[in-house]
Amino acid sequence: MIGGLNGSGKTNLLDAIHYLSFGKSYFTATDSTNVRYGQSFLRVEGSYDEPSTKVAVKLGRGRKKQLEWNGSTYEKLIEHVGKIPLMMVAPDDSALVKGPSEGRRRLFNMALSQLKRDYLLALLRYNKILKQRNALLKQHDSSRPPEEALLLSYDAALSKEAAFIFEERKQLCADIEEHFHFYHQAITGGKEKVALAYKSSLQEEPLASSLLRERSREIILQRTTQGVHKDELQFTIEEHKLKRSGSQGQQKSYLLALKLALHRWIFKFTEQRPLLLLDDLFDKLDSERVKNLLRLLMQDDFGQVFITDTQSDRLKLLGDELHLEYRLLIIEEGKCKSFDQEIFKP
Amino acid sequence: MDFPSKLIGDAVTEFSRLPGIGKKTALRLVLHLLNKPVEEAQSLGNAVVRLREDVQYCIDCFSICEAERCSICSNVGRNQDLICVVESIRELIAIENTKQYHGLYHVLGGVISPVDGIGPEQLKVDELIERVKAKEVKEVLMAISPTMEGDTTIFYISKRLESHPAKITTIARGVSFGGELEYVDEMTLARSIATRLPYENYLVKR
Repeated sequence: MIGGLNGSGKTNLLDAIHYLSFGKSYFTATDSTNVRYGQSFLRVEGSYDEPSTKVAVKLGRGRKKQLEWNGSTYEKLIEHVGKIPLMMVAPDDSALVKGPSEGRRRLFNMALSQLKRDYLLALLRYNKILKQRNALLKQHDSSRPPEEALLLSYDAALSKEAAFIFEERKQLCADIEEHFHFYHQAITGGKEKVALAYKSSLQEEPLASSLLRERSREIILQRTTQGVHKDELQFTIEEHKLKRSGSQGQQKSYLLALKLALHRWIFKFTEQRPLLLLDDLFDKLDSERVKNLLRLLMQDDFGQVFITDTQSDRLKLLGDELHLEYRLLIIEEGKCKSFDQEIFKP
Repeated sequence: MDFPSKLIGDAVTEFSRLPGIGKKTALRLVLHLLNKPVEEAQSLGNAVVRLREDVQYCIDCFSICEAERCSICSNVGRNQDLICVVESIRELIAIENTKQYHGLYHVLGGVISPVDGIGPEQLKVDELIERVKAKEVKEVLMAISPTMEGDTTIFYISKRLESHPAKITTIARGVSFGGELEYVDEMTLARSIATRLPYENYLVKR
């Protein structure tokens, strides 16, 4: 448990842990913004017990980012993804509900790529083909359409990767459904009826045929309108869209249940408990739901959990009340001011 | 870098424009040439000038040659039914050096990549299709890099040749000779297993 005032560096600490698992920040895609102002490089180091290893990331201006596993540098960053599985929950996640479908697909990708290298590689190939296909469509228009044989070449390559990605996503949704409902009930006390649905054009027909059908429209719009990059993950509450009908707290509970289900899913297949990072525990949740959540984490043995809150005494009270096994760290101005030497055991 | 003579400076600038040559290497080359008899520098200079002035592209395969037609295309001893498609003359040279190939070539001049502004029009694709049809070629061997762009190019060419009876083949992809299996990257190994061959296929005639 990590306590500290606003701006003291609690989230920064969690993000550093995230950095070591994914080689990037949870919050931004631009690496350079992670380097402290006025400094020329960043370095994050972490020691792990299970698996017993040391991981380090270094990033200097104008230099390639490097990731080390026990002192040896990876040739490619993607080789590391999934070795230290992790699931993060942050107040920013509300964008997953309210924002565009891209964020929800990224949630899929984050879980699947930690578990399956094949999925990550297929996704990278898909995006590369898509980029080429879109470039081709951009360079032509309806008065001078691209050559059909060339479009068909991209269609074939795209369909092959899309079919694989679609199957994996569909399977993931089916796999997590039961746990998702169980966790959601545990957090909310069973007060809300929720559902999770995966929507993809590939459910209707293979990508190659929908691309063929939409040919003239795509030539006019000059971009690829069909494919798994348009997939949607529908969140509903009481049969209405969660985005519109759910309160902030209901949305947060929904996302928590979803992420816990993904956590469990990764554990089931890797037999390695992902680190669970809960940034700003009390964000949007009432104290009843917070307690339900913590009880659930203990009962179902979620492994190591990092929790942040602005009020350290509140954390301590909770820990004692629920008989948690915990250690409290207090962060002040980016440094750890105090921490319990011993893990507190009830 | 400052030089005592403008002549040296100019020569260094020219050399350092070549790929893989920095200022220091360029200076070393220049000083080396100064230490050698003047004829040597002349023959180097002449070779460079002649290369640029006299070079031609073969009207059939677009390889580099001195005449209208390259020595491979004009060699009647070569298998005229087989065309090997390569990206550039570099691959052609590599394949020729194996001495295992006795057909003709076709140099595309690159692979299709709309992101880089390269479409079929920028390459010698139409010429290839025409050639295959006109000469009734029996087999088109694709010796193109196994990248996404390379694969698209192969798919596209095969699509264009769909109505023609020519057989389309690609060079084998997989574990390299003399390599240790444990160092082969996962993707190559996975593919090598998926496209495994009966053992007798490996007993190639030499």
